[in-house]
This record gives sequence, C-alpha cells and structure tokens, in this order.
Amino acid sequence: MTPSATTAPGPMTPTGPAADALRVALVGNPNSGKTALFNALTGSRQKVANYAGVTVERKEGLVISPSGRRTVVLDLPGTYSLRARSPDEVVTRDAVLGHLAGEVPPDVVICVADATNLRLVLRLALELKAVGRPAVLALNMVDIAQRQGLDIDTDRLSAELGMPVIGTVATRRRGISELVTAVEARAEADAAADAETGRPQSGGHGWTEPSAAEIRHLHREAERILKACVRPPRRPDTWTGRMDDVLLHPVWGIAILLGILFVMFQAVFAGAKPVMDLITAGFDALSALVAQRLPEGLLRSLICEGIIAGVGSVVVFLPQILILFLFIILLEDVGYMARAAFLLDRIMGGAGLHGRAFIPLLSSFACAIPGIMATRVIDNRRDRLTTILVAPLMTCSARIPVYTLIISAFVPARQVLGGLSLQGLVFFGLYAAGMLSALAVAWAVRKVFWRSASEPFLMELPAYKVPDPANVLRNVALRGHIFLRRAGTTILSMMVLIWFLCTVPGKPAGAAGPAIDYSFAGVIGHAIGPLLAPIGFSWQMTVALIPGMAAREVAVGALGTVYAVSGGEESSRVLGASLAHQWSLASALAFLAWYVFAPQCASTLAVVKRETNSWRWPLIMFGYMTGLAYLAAFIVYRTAVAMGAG
Amino acid sequence: MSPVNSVPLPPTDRPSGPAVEGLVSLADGRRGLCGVIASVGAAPLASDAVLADELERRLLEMGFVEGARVEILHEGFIGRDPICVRLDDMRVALRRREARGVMVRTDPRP
Amino acid sequence: MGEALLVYLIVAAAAGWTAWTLVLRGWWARRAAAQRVADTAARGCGPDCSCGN
Repeated sequence: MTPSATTAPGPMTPTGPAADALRVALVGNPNSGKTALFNALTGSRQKVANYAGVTVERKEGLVISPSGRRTVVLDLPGTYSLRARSPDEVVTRDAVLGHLAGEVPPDVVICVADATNLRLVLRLALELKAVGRPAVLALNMVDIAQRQGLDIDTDRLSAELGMPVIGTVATRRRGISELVTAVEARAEADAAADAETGRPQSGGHGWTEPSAAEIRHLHREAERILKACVRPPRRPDTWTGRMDDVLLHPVWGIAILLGILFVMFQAVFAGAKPVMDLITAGFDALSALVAQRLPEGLLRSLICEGIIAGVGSVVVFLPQILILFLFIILLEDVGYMARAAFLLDRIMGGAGLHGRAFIPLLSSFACAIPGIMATRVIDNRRDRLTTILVAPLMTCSARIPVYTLIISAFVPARQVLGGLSLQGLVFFGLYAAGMLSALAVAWAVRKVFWRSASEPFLMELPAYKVPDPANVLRNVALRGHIFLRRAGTTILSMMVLIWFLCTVPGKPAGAAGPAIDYSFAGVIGHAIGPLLAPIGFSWQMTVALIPGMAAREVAVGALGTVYAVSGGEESSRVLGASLAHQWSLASALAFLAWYVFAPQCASTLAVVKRETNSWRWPLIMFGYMTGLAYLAAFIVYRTAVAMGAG
Repeated sequence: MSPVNSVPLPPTDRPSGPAVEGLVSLADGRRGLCGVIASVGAAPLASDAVLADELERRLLEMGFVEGARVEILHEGFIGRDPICVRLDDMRVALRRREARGVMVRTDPRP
Repeated sequence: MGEALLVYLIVAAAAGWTAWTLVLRGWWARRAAAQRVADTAARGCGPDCSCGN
C-alpha cells in the first residue's frame, strides 16, 4: 500500500491507518485560492458533508501522489489566525491542533498563500509553525505575482519559515505534483523523526491564544521575513484600484449594484424560459408514453399523475437555479461580494444587520439552509441570530416555482416601460418585498430582543480576479446536483405520499363531485379551510400548503396533483391555465403574499434548531413568519377584492 | 480626538513643520488621508459587545499594526461610513467606529 | 389484487423514506456524532489539554 515509505530515511512505522493513507489539511486566508487548489489537487474525487455535530461544510478529496501513495486532503474553512472567532474558524483551529472530535489529526498542513498578498498569511504560517505540525507553504497564484514583477526568494522564505515552499497556479494545475511530492517528503521526514525519538513530534497540546503583544511580535517577524524575501512588484496591479473607483463610488457603485441584481433576476426569469419549456415538453412526452403502455388503474395514476407530473413540475426549475448560482458564484470569484458588503453595510447596519450578513442573505436567495449555515461568518451571537431569523424572508429558489406558476398564470406577458417584461417586474417586486421585510424584521428584532452595538465590520477586499471557468462550472454543477438529488429523493417520496393522500380512499360508487373530495387530503383541507378562508384560500390551496411544508416547491407539484386528480380529464392541460380558470385574481395575489412570508419549509426550521441549539428560535421564527404571512395575505386579498378582483 | 491606550509613540525624525501634520484617528480621516499608523489601541466603544482587547487583536490580525502605511481610498455613501483603506498592499473595509482606536501620523502635505 | 399491493408497497416505501430524510436521519447523525465525541473523550486527553473534551 505504501511503496513510497521505503524511501524514508530511518525505520518504517507501519502502524495504524495513518501509515496507510496520508492525511493533509489545507489552511489559508480567505481569498487565497484555497478551494481552487483543493479542486486542482483532488479533481472530481471529492466528498462534501458536514463535520460531526456541527454544520460547517466538510470537503474531503483524494489525491494519489506520483509515487502512488493515497493522500486524503481536507479543505478547512479560511481563517486569518488560529485564534478562532467563528464556528468555521473553530473547526480550522481544532483540526490543525488535532482536537476535532471524529477527525484524525492531519499528518501535514498545507498553508495556502496568495503570492501577491503574503503579509497576513506569513503570520498564519508562523502560528502553524509554533503549533509544531509539519507544514508546507503553497505559494499560490505565482503567475500573477510574476506578471506583476514580484520577486519572491523561495529558498530564503523556506529557510525563514522552516517549511518547504512550493509555487503553484491552482487554476492551471501548475506545481501540483511538486506540492504533493513535498508534502509526502515532509510527512516521511516527520515520521522518521518520530521513530527516532520514540514519540510524536507534532501535536497541538499546550497551544494558547496569542495576546495582542504576541500578535504584534508575530507580525513584526512576518514583516521582517517579507522584507528579506520579497521584492515589491515592479508593475503592481492598478486594475483593482481603478475598478474600485467606479464600483465603490457613492453613486455609480450603488447604481451598478442595483443593476447587477436586476439583470440577475431578469436572467433568471427570461433567460431560463426556452430550456424550461423543453423540460416540460420532455416530461409531458414521458407521461404520455407511460399512459400508452399501462392499463388504466391505480398504478398508472400513481406513475403519471403522482410521480412524473409531480417531479417534472419541480425539475423544470433547474435552469433557473443554475442561472442564479452562476451569478452568485461568479460575483464571489470575481471578488465583488466583499464590495457589495461594503456598499450595503450602512443600509444593513441601519436595520441592525452586519455588512457580512449580506453574504448569508444573498445565499438565502438560493436556499435559506446554506444561507443560515453561512451565518457562521458572523462572529457575534446576536448579529448571527438576527440574520438567521430573517434569512428565510429572502426569496429562496424553492419559491421560484411557485412564483413562476402563479405569475405566468395571472400576470399578462406584456412589455411595459419600454421593453421590460411585466412578469419580470412582478417577480422583482416579490423579491423586493422579501428583502424589505427582512430589513424591517431585523430592525424590529434588535428593538425587541436586544439593544447593543453590533459586531465589528472588518473585512479584506480582495484584488479583482478573472474567474476560472472550470471552477465556476464545477461549483454550479455541484449546486445543480444537490437540487436534483433532492428532487429525486425527498421530493419524489413526497409526491408519492401526496398522490396517495389525494387518491385514497377512492370515491364511493355513485357519489357526486370530484374524487379528491373523499380522500384524506380533502378531509384535511376541509378541516383547515375555515382558518384560511378569510385570506381567500380555497381548500385545494390549503391542501397544497400542507406538503409544501416539506419543501416549498412541493406545493407546485401538490397543486398539480390536486387539480389533475380533481379535474379528471383536465390532467393533460397546463396547470397554470387550470389555476387561472379556478382561482380568482385576489386569491392568487394572496397566495403570492402568503408565500413571501410563510415558514413553508420544515428543513429550514430544522437547520435553525441545529444552528441555535434550541427550539426557542425555530418556534419564534415559525410564529412570526406565519403571523406575517396571514396578515400580508389578508391585506392583499381584502384590498384586491375591494378593487373588484375577487 | 479620543483617548487611546498609552502605547508609546515611536520617535519621529520628521520636523514638526506644517500644521496639517499630526496625529489623527483613522475614524476622523477623510478620503485621501495618507499616513503611517502610530498606534493601535482599544478605543472606548459605545458598548462592550466586543471587548476592547478583542477589537485590538482583530485590528492587529487584519494588519493594522504600528508602522503600516494607510490611505483612505473610499467612503460609504451614507454618513461617509464605512471606509475602505489601503493598508500596505491590501485593501480593507471597516466602519469608522472600529477605526477609532487606530491613530495615524499623517504625511506632510507637499 | 397485485396492482393495488404494488401501489401500497410503493407508498409505504415513500412514507418510510420521507420519515427517514426528515426525522430519523438527523437523529441518527446526532447519535453517531455524540458517540464519536464520547470515543474521543475515552481515548483521553492530557490534563493540560485545551481541546475541551
């Protein structure tokens, strides 16, 4: 298994699993290209999961060294210091120190540095050296450093830091095999030293948080090494400054930010249309094919109306989710996210939110769950709780199916204001309603629950970079994969259950009315119906809301099932047309208003419970969101009815 | 000017000529302010949400150390807050409240 | 009747899967994590250890 071990000077130590596969951890500052290096090292051999007991994303991959040794690489959350200030950084610290429950301590730590921005990472490297775990410095983005005329004396740097220094260009896979070889050599040298002295050299015991004086000392040391080993760039990057002059401009910067957000939503709505039509046609054809082959009966009903119609109505939104994530990932990789946080800090701060809350909240546009998990970048507990409470108000991609369905059924596809799609405008309006209510609720939360100064806003603005297409595509594909996996598992099984509720027990012989009236779903819908009648919801809508608790987008499939089943021959007609026929405009608008606020997602509540470690916050969230949703839907319905849209 | 912790200021060999030269808090600087950080201390905050010592350490970890060159590059559009500064060869965004404890010895105007 | 049996089997499987993904998987993961923490503690840390186990 370890043929390379024979090259180690000194006796071999073939004991335990550590002698089997090498374990390596990647540590580095945020924006150092750490994840790109992780991708370059491991390619597609990656596993994404969570750390045991906490919800920090754990990315692990496998690399086979040139000598054939298996090496397990762990991508740790980015940090400036081992003095952890957030749960993510706690994971990094504990993994490096070897204290993380359920994790084997790494044999070697790869400290990832942006070659053009070494000052802070040198201090981190010195901290790692003090811990005593074998380390290798990966000098990433050396191509950019060379282009800027930045001279780095790697031999001197290596001698000063006491660790090998390897230049890499992660996006072009340059220096990767050299890095792996250096890591392997380092691990073997360490194992040999352990064997000689008879005890492990490395370990994190005895590490303590550095004081301010110690940080100053380490920084001076890093500064000295920097002066000794690095000659400043002859052609420094002036693009970042020039772009910031525009993008951080008090007027132009805000205008551009709003423009980017608007283009993003127009692209999500209009750009995805052709592909969505194609997917719809595909599922329709599949359903027709199955209907031809199977005899009329329960099984055909399950497959056509339950599974294919239900799953198809959710999968159709894949193009929109991909486009949304493409924008988010591009903005992140270009380096614009931090600028957006800068521009929005004062607005967010006015609502009692941290500028950094922008990133979790923007992620919540995709899904509240990664958004709530991303609140770990906010160190202060109160700031974090506020952000968690309002994150589900940001319009997540699971609402897109519901919004799209209702909007395309009830809002005419007209051009207004010189070429803008009216449907796109309504869509944008729903997003704006979510955002504004999030700010309002955050403000109220601060007033109701606590009044205190917020967390320091202190963040590096990275140099702008041209994003690596391969990395962007990989990340977009990962999100698409997660969405499809969900559609293929949770949503599929929900669809089967909803179909069951809507079909069984069947209509007694000779009874009048649609069959669903006699099913379990009909019974539940009729029972809750009176509660939701004041806001204009029919019992079919109420039925669709119940399975929507599992995942918001399931409501679309549920509406499809409810109406396909209750309508009989109508199942072949487009769901939207069916809704336009059966709902009043007032009810449709009330349904949209409900969906802006309603806590229609059990998984979000479960994640909040896990993140806050108590049932108090998910209960508060459920309560206030239901209240808001009922209120909003009531106002919208009554106003619309008064205006004659009932 | 707000009181800062009594970190001894590094001796300066510059003549104390022009009136514009002197110590200012980074929090009071306007766009275009250039200088060298003279001291980083724990400024008195409106509240102790983050202990003063913690803020000092975070500033230090971000590179706000004595001797570092700073320049205010951009200001936010509401209340000129937060600010974006060039810190040696990095760019860092921070709120004026957090910049309170960073004292800057401004460059003499040419 | 074979068809009805098949349909009920599929529905039962779906119900089981839903229960697993929504409730049981989380419970199982928490239990496993707690077990790992206990194992780590059992392996023992020195008195000077700052890892909190």
